[in-house]
Amino acid sequence: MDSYCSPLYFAFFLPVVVLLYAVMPQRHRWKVLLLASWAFFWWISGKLLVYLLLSILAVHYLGLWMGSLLTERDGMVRAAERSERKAIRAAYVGKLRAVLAAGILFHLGLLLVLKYAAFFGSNINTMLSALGLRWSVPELQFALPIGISFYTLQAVSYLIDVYRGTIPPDRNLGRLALYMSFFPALMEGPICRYSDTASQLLEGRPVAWHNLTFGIQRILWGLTKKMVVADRLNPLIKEVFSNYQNHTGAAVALAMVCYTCQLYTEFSGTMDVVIGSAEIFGITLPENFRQPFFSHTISEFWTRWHITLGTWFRDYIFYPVSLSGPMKKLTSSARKKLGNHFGPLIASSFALFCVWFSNGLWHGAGWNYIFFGLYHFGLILCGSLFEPLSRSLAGKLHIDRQGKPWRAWQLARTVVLVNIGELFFRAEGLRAGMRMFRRMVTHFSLAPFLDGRVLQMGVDGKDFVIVGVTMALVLGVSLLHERGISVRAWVAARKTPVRWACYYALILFLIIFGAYGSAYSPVDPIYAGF
Amino acid sequence: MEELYEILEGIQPEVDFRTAANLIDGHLLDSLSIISLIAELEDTFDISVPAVEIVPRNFNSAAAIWVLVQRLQEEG
Amino acid sequence: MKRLKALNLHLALRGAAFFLILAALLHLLWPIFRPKNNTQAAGQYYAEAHGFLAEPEDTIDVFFIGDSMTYSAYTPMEMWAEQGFTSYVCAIGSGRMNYAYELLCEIVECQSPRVVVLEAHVATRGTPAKNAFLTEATLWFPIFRYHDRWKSLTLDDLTGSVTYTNTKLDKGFRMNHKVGAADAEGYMEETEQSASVSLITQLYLLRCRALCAANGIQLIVVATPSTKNWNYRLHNAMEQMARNYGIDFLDLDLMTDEIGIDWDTDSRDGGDHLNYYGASKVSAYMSGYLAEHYDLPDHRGDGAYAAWDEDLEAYQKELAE
Repeated sequence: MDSYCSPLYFAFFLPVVVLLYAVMPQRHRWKVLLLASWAFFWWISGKLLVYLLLSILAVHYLGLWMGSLLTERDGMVRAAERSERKAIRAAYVGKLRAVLAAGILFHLGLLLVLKYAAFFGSNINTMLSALGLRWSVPELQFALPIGISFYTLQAVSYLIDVYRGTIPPDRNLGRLALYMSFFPALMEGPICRYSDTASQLLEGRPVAWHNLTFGIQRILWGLTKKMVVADRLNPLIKEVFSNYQNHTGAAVALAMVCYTCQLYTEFSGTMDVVIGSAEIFGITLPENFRQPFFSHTISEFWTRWHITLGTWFRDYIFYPVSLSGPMKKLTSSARKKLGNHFGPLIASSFALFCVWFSNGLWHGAGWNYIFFGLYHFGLILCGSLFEPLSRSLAGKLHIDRQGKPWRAWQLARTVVLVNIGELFFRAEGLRAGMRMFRRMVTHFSLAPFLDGRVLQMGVDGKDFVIVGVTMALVLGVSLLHERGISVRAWVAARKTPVRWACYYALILFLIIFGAYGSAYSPVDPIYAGF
Repeated sequence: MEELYEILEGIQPEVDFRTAANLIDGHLLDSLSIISLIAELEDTFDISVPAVEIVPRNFNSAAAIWVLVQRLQEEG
Repeated sequence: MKRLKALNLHLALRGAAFFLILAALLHLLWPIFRPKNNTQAAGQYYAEAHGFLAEPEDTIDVFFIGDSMTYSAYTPMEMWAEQGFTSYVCAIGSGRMNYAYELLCEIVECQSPRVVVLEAHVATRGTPAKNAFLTEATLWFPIFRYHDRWKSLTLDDLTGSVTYTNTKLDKGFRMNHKVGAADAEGYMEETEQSASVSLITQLYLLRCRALCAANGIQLIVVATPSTKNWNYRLHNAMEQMARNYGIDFLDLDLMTDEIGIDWDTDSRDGGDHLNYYGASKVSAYMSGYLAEHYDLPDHRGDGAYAAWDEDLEAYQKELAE
């Protein structure tokens, strides 16, 4: 089982778990989910399951510890005079912080060592040798447990929420374990919050007909995106990204656009499978995508693309950093000198930098990912810096910033900027990304499009037609969703013949046009690698 | 309350804050504007807004922000 | 409670009706997607292993099912010349057990062989679950294997009938005269250790056994000589499986002296595959072995099999070139 889009998952593992879940008495159902999750983990990562179990235990007991400190504090605060309360609170802050820090350090430390040791090692060695020193540090390669980048963030958000007092610590080890390891979200997210997800996990809701059919439909839709578009485009993307020097700038541009389509259909398709799977058990996972290509700015794009990662960084890095004591002092003095637009921007751009540096690094140990993060940091910062200028310019030129032409320009601009970012994201190293970008600008020639060479890179004309049709379908569905119309609800409200015709059409479309079988090599799950 | 409207309009002139009730969920205020807003609020109303309070519930409308400000003033 | 049960029954019936209609649709589409000839151009999957479709029904006595080792090692024309039974090699490069079973299913549809020889290398190697899923789907609905034919569909596919014209002169054998000496150092060194064989592979082996039994076919697993792909650990594993499952097993790697394999001249790529010289020796040995141990007819001189004599002439002409 290498991905949620492999038949081993959706045609074997998931049905078996659903069946076991359904026949269990309600109060034992969560145990089925937990054991299934660990079996899923074991299947992929084997003995590395120990890391997950360790994390669960650490989170559980540190949470309880903070919880008892908080109760102790609140008891003392209640008993004390009003004037002493502040001092009592302050006395506990240190202890609470120490426990929280231990928890965060444990998790981030584990992630850093397992995921980045080799990257840091090799960069340190490069630096040492550049300085003419003979020392070198070992470049350790560790086997990475599946989903560690995702469940680590869930663990940290749980600990911080308990620390902040927004959620009580969980006394139920089973629920916490399931929150950390729920198999649909284990490998590629969405990154869940304890307050949204955990309580649903233990309920053991029955497999309702409505949930079952809606869940299956969503899984089918996800598979269609993944198997028809992402897998079908894979040969061209692989060819151009690994041999870009043999291709013209136009072909590189085509590969860039194809990759953006692939990344979107692969990741959002997988999310459909994941969220649809959870839906069958009556569990609502947070959405990870909201029609990202209808964004007007890069900043908005990140509230629509990989949403749960963006909100995680916003809530646990951006706000805490920009509202920390030193930053607040900086903001208030800068406002006096620079005004209320640019003043706060100093502190928030520092916080933003932290967010995007972490975001880039989170995606993987590579300079191209860090560049990807900083690229988006730059774009968002520029957007904010130039906002007053743009506003006054638009006013002088009598451009209506709410008008359709301006909105269309914004949409197009965002799509182009996102595409360029994804080029670096996919490139085999930062240097390759730079070279590809340069090639796109300097060696731009339409020749391969005119002489048909473009159709000989593993994706032929008919493939492009099918990809185009499917992307049009995706666009249509996105437009409906953007207007708040649920396609599944619409279909469900039709009479049986129409409804079934829709289902058959989608199933046959997937069976016929899916890029599976010995002629294809499907793309590996992209986000599971992060 | 009028003071609050003035602050909000200074940050985002294109939004009608008297009616909008989805400032966060509708992405009318992005996270950078939130930081500007908080800086203004803290100065004007002499409060301190901790990161925990930055949830859509508290910032989705001018009215909600006003409630937050008053609560923080009392707690202050 | 009664109402709940009625509701559940209703839903179950709906579900069943839904899938029945889906199955019907898939079956209705199959005649359109089905390749109308067994050539690669017509969309035949692994056309080189499907020449037997163009042979007259029930005329092949022995099938060799396997991978690249198999199509490099058994030449049906020479076996015909030696013993007079007809045979065909159905082998695909890096073939897996799921596909061996799929081929066997296709074979028993149109031929009634007496013996099926299965490559031991295939019967001991892993079978990815992905492949197995596709095979299972294909056995129910062949459109899963041929879904890609949408790219080459024409109007004729809607109305056309199926005619097979692609017969292979060499009956599935691929002749190769290259010589790449093999290093036979340590080859088939005896050991107590045994390789482990994946569960899916074993399941397909059992299904092959059952299908052969149901069709009155003798199944024999044969390890084709190869210094690179076969060793004593695999031999032990296969031996064990053959004993457990009651399947005949012949390891030609232990008989290279009797067969007369010379690893300096009889491999085309350093012991990975045999070349023509190796194939000729192995085929001579195997045809004798099969004729001796299994009840195979001798069709030589039978007018109905005159085409085989013509093919033999052409084959010998090809050899002479």
